[in-house]
Amino acid sequence: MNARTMLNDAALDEMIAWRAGPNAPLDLAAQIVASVGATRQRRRPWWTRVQVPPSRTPAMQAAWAIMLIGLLVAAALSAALVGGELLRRVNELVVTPRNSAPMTWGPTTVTPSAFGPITWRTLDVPGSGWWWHVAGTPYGSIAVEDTQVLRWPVADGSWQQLALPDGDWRAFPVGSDVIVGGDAGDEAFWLHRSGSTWVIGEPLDLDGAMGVIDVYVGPRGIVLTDGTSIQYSTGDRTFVRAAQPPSKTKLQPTVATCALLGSSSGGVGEGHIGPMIVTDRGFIALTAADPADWNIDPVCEPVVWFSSDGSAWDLASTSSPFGPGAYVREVAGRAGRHVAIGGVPLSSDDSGNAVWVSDDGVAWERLSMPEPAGTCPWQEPVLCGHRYSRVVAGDAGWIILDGDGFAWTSTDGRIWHAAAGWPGSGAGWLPQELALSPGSIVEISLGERGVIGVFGP
Amino acid sequence: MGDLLGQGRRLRRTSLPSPTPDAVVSCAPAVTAVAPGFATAASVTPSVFIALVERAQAGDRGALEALVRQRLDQSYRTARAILGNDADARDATQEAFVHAWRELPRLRQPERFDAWLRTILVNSCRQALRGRRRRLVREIAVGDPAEQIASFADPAAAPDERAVAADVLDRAFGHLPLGERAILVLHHLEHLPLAEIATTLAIPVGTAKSRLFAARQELERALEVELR
Repeated sequence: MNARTMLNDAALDEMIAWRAGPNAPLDLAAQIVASVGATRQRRRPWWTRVQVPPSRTPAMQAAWAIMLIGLLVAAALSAALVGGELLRRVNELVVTPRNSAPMTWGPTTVTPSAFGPITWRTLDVPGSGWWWHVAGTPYGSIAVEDTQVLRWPVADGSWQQLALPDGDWRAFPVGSDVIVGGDAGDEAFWLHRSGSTWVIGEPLDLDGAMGVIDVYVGPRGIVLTDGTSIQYSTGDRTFVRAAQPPSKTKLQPTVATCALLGSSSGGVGEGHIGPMIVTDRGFIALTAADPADWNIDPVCEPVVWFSSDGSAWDLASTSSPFGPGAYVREVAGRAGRHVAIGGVPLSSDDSGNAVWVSDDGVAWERLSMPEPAGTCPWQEPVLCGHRYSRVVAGDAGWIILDGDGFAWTSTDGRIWHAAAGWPGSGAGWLPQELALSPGSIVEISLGERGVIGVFGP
Repeated sequence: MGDLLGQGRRLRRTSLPSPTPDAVVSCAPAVTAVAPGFATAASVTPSVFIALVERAQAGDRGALEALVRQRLDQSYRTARAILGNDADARDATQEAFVHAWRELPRLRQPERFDAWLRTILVNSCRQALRGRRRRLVREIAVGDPAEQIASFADPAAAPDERAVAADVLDRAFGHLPLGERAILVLHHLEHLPLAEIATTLAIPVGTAKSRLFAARQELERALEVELR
């Protein structure tokens, strides 16, 4: 008799059940609950997104090179003139130190770009940690691990890494640089590229501790948010807390009711400032119309707040431009156009997907979307909610993912195509994070694996 | 097969990964596998369960406590089967639930909570295994393990035979890498379909299938080593 003959299913079932032993010790539940009581839950909304990386099409690469040379010259001049104060490039924008003249902006119109067919393959994540955040940069995608390591691929297909300080970090592209911020609210750093390596620069000078859960870069400067407060900078590393942030005290109670959101309330304190948008005139933030809904995510019946400088915020609309009962989960913009994903009510307790587009962040137009390309991958089709979960923008355009692994792409934000199925379809991936960088898409689920999609013109 | 623990007994000195005293000494009778959808507390309907997840996502610790009670036993036994001892299983289970609490706002689809929690649990087991490389020397009784193992699934087999067989299989199991242990546990303890296993381990279904096959082969090889 050999091992093969012994290892039938019944024997293995029995053996592993024996190995599993009895149920959990009686005191374990109480111990876990006590530990949870001492643990702060991440206050990370679902609408975290990747900022707009610059274009890498041939034409734009040439423009980029010219811009880069200009930036280098400007940097040298600026360094000489202002004693080496930090000069930052943001897409086609030169972000100059605060109190200096407004910066120059790149194109604000959407142009056709290259979002060709996507070829997906499994991404074997190197290292020992979990990838729990990815972001797109002009140099390709980067990943942050729970072991405080930043990783990125290099030309030969291998991976390089950079050790980060202790903390739970997230990375946000800022032009060709990256801001790395922690949820815990201690520090945030600039990272810049040197050759094929990312290098940690100076810490941001924050106005009091804040967790950085999102970064928005525009012609008027940079805004950081922890979801409930805002700090802004005119372009350098010194940030100031917004004097008049969006406040629910300026809102009147409404009867807003968003399907699927009824049980998501309570326990998150002051509530959050929803997705934000960068325009050439300033910044836009979405919050729930009803003060009672500020602790609900995604944002129910969003109203629009505007700030020209990131400091003083005023209501730009008193009713939701998304319609009654609609909610918004994420917004992603590029080249002066913004795409929002969310839902609209179908009945009192159900909602359907919705996508809106806007060129100013104030007026929104709902779009018609194609059906997903494929059938439900789950064994129980009822699980296929096809709920849009992520939208990100990059040089190629926009990509929307739903929770079942289907994708939709658009080069102009208005006309959408159902993308070919990706390896996650049918494999049970739980899409968690998404990054769109020149020529590639990286998607990870919570774990040690991901997928990478390569596309081209 | 007779009284293997009383006759012809020989002692074998073996280095094993972190067994617990009760597992070594008592060789407890096999526990009947728990069917998927287990519950320590009274089972709740799927809609209520999803509502609990959503409330926990919004910071409701009471909802999290309810989720813990719903899923604790299954999670603990999965960790116990992967890790092979109570102390590590306890730590991994606790770590998994605390991690789940911290990350719950990141879970986009509450109806996928179970698969998501399982993924976290497997990773917690990986961390536990990485962090605790304890090795013990222990003495165990060995008769003719091959025949005993064959009788493992035989309800008529004597408890002693089952115990020795279980111990041999247990040691062989301990030689497997965590990934292979996990896939065997998810398949043979939780009786998950391949799609769900793939979800948990974040691998395609085809890969899950081939890894399950490879894990079985690896276990066979480890078992043959133990039987020499």
